[in-house]
Amino acid sequence: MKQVNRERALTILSPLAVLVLWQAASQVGLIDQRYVPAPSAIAEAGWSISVSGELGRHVIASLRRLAVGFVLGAVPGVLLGIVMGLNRWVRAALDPLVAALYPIPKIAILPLLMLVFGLGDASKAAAVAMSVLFLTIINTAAGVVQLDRIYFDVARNFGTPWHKLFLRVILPGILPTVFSGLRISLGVALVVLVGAEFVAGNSGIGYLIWSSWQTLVVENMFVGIIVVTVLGVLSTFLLREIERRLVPWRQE
Amino acid sequence: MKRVFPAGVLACVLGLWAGAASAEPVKIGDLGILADAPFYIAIEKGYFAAEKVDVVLQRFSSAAEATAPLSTNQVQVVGGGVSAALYNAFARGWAVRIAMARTRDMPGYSSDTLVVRNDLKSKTLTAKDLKGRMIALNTPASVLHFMLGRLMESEGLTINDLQTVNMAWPNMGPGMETQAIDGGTVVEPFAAQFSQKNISFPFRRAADFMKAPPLEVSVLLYSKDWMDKDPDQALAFTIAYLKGVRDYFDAMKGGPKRAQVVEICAKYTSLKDKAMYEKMQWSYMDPNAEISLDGLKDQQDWYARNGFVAKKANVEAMVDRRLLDQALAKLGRLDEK
Repeated sequence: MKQVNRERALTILSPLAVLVLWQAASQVGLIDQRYVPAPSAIAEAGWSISVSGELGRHVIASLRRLAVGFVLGAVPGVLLGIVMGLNRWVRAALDPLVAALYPIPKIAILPLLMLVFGLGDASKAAAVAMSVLFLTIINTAAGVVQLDRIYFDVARNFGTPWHKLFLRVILPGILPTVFSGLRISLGVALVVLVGAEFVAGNSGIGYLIWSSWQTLVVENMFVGIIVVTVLGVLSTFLLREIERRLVPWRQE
Repeated sequence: MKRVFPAGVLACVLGLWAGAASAEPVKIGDLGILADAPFYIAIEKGYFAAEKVDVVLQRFSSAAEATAPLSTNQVQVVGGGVSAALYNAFARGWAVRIAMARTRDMPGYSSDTLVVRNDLKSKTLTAKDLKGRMIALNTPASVLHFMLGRLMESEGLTINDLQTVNMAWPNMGPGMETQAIDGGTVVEPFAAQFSQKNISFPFRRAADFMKAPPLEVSVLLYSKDWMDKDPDQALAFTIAYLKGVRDYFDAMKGGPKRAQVVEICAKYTSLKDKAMYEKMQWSYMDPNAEISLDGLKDQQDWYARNGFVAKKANVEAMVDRRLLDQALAKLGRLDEK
């Protein structure tokens, strides 16, 4: 127990120590504050744009696009991945398409997405959805393929109907792999979203970071970067909690 | 002889060392646009070579991107649009100085344009008709943003009476074609190209309504460290550059150097269609590169009022015209008429 507490303390203290060192280095001039502001200046700027409501507006815009895009990519991704994992012919047909489309940088096709979906949330959510879709397909299909065939044989011998096979064998078997894929997809989704908000828009954390750099309000740019980090940590934490409830045997 | 020989060796060594101190090429942050023409002219016509200055072009996508390396002397010269970033950089203590003016908008030479979709032409007669419309900007708090704000203010409105969205200039054409935006603030050749493709019409040019002071669009920024540590090289560069400016001025006015300047610009910029140079309005360059302090102060005041500049910079301190004055003393002043 004591060791667990020490580990938790270290998890909290180590980033705090980095902040203290950064602040001290800025005060004594080791870090040039003209280019890298001190944590206190960043905190002050963060407070200022929080109180004015500007930060909240950007965070809500990004979270909305992230949530919509993630669901639109993850749900079909999991379903397609299951079908590809179970059926070799579907896998043979779709694998080359997935392999071809997955490496395309989604930011590169953002102007095309804007032509189709417009300048608003839809084009950014579409970019997020595309980046999540392929990662989820690949992970889910791999999870299904890796399931031990003996479970299918036993279920077949006992005459298990398909829906029970799916709910009692396939889904529990692939959930750990699916959630691993979703955690990776979430990180990639954030990267793509922030990049999409650089290109065309007037809201979102990506827009805050880009416009702050364009106007050289460097403190606000760092606030945006820190907010992206916090959003990444919180959303991963949320996903872990959902996984903990849906896949309790993995914790054991 | 015994004293002369070591002295002679010492003189040679010192001379070589002095030469070596200026042997580093000058890195120019260029954007590949028409306003960078004096750099390209001075390279092609040997003005830099005549002043014994080696130059290297380093391409950037925007002046804001180039300002950070300029302030740390990784790049020595950048032609930069006047923007909130410039004032904020100076207020932060970044080591950059405005060495001379670059482009401004004057009647007949006004590149900065608000273009509006062709289908809105009959409905958009004054700035008041723009109220509530979606207008694209390539960069927030830039000279075009200022121009747009001034246009709205000329009819009793403000920039907040518009919706604005960020968008790169090339994307504004498709944006207007799909009616995602109602207009955009652009520079040439985009205004001419969009007109040619029947996408938009030039609703207002900056010189139509910004006369006193005229719109100060861009300036030539030098690294302060470079100016202080290598003033001889900086002066030589300035002299060669000013010769390039004067060739551009001649071309701009339709003089005998126009064809050659167009040839050079087509080589170095993304505007390869030489016919387009005759269809668009060129930016105005003062052949004596005189800076308008009133124009710079006016812009900073607007950025500060609209929340883009938190701490106003001392505009007089931003400008260092030592090298310009020395270059003008050597070359003489040119009559703008």
